[in-house]
Amino acid sequence: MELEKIKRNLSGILPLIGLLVVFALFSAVGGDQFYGARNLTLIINQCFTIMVVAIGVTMVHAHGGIDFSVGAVLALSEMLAAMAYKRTGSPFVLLFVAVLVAVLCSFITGIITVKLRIPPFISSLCMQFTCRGIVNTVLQSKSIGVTELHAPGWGVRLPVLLLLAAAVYVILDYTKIGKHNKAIGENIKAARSSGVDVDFYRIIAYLISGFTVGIAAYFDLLRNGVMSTNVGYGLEMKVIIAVVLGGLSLSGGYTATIKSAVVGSLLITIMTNGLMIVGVPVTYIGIIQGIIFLLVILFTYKRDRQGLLPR
Amino acid sequence: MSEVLLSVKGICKRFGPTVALKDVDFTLRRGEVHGLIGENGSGKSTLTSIIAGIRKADSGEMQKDGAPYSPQSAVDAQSQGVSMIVQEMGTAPDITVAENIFLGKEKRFTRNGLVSKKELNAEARKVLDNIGAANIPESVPTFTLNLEERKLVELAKAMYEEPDVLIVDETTTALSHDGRELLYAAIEKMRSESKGVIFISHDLEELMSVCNIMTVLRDGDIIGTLTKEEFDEATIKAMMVGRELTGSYYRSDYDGKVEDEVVLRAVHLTGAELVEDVNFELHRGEILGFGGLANGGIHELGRLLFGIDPAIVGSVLLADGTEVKDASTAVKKRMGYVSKNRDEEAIMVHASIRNNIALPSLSKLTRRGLVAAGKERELAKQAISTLEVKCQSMEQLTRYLSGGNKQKVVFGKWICNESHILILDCPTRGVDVGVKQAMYRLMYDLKCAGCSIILISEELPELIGMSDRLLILKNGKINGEFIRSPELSERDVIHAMI
Repeated sequence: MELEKIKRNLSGILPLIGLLVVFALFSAVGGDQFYGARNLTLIINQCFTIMVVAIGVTMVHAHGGIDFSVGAVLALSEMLAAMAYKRTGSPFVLLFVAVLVAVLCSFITGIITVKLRIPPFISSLCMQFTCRGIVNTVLQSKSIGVTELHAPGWGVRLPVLLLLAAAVYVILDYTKIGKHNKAIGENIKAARSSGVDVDFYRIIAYLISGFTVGIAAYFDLLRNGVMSTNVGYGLEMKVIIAVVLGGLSLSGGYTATIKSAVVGSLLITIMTNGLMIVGVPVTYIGIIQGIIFLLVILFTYKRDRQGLLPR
Repeated sequence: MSEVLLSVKGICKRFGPTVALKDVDFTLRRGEVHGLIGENGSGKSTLTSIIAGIRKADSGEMQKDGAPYSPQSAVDAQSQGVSMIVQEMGTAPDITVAENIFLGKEKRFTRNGLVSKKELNAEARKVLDNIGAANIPESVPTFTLNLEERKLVELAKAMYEEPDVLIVDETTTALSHDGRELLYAAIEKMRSESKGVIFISHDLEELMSVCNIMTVLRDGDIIGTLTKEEFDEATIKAMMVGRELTGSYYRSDYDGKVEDEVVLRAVHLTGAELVEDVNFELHRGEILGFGGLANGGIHELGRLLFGIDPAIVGSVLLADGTEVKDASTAVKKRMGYVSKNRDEEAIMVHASIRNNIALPSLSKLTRRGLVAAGKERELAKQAISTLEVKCQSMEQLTRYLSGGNKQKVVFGKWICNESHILILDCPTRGVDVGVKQAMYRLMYDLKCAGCSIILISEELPELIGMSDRLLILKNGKINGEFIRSPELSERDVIHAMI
């Protein structure tokens, strides 16, 4: 029992230890360049989008799903929101459209996955291609500028981040939505025969995930001030690596916690940033991330479960 | 006494905090059919899996035919003449029956780097016919077979090795009468050839008739070994649980009285497979038994009644007129279902006892959108104490519990949700005597409290012992009805089954 307890606690704090180690390492190697106020602001800025999306996507991971579409959905949301803003001149319309588009896209992915019984990685890949395709078709190589709008500072963004994290924490641990999604991730048959409406609750998870993508799109657009085709590129992988680094099991279930999203997002951002400061070429960073991702999966994946990406 | 075939000395095995075997000595002689019996978690399966090379002992040594024997894997054990038919599924679903039988031995049939399907199938046919399983096709994918047929494929596979030692772990629960006969024939063949068989079962009667020697385990210790002349049901049961079992096993009343109020009605119920035009009424406070052969439709009926599988024709209606169309409606209407396949369909093995127990009751525990954590813990605590679940805490993962205790957790789910209609599909399958007795008492208490129970089982004594009324399904149709009476015998019922 003691050993079991230690093991469980250790796996709980391991991502935190990893975060500290990575931070300490790059502080030592990168020195002032890493530690400087400018760089720290950069890290936090880079982290914001990943973390907001990771917080929502945790709901989908909880039931054993996976979403490869978040980056493209983010881009489509930003584009339509920017266009709507250009037409109306209202920042509220911008926010509303950003959230609405993302929620709708997620809803469609959810419906396709759940009702048509398509594995989530397939359905979300389809959504990715579709959204990315729409963005490329409409924008061609042009961009839409919304520079006249002020990007909200940390006085707004930090509370938003905390609020989202707190909300998903409560949903995950203290509501039927969270508990049912985790139960589905553990054993969908047992969940169904325990009276869980598995279709309904999985779709709710997609809606929550979509909502956070919409929020992320709003802030990302305002911070960049311009919408172009490369927005959100590769975001889905960063988010998935983040939650896995944070200790979440991709097969879903009760390991799904908000902590994974928060710690993991910081970890992946600091790692990317640190590597760049140390002088590793940007092209190498993708390779390094891929290898780290594989290693983490190897160490955390529960081998006695059926399949890494169930259903 | 005949020659020693296999001996085990001082075997110890721990799983994390749990001691599964404590310094166990065990001897198998030639010509023995050696029964192993004990409650769940007593170490039977652990001991045999060590002998079969599936697990490694922490300490201790084994000898086979006088020479040191330490198998590195199940395949290694097989090559040294020890084969095992395991409790869980041992066949791969997507390959053919023949491919399963010769899995890992395709080399024999390989010509110029290609496996000859024809030879493989022909040899498989012979192997299957040898054990008397002439009705099992050799070239179909294994998933098309039912549980019993797959078990027989495993038997064929094990016998093909011509082992000196055959280990049969809890296999007969999956077998019907005919299947059992095939297994017994194989065992008898082993015995007559002066080889050895280790036979694990929860069915004491079966062990007493099949085995010529029996060893009783309790909490990882060997309590004693009895020869055929010493077999006595009461003695063995007492050895297993470490105390005398008092009172009768099943309920002792015979009035079979139920209330007139109908709580559930099946009308022309027909499913996609097997179940055909089934009509019956379930009364308040009634234990309604459903019996039949494994492929007679009883398990499919249970799934239809709970809304897990959809009805093609007909419907399941509750007293208030609600039609049970899916499982979430069933749970909302306070129905409960105990699946035959516990680990796959009834519990979340990687989740805590608390999370398992609370799952159907979450709606009840929700106030203003939030689940009350304190109430959830209270609920779990209550279930653990009423059902006497042996565990370290409610946060313990259910995978660390023994089979019987897992089953108690499943029952706990429904009792906490105040279910008043329970559908129990083989609730005592793979459960030891102590837990079995507790389950029977619980069922009776629930009945007396006004609950209605549908008891689906392949064990006739259990059905006859517990049901107020017993319906027999044959080929998916009701083929007989029996009212509770002390005169009702297995023979009467079997007649309606076959």
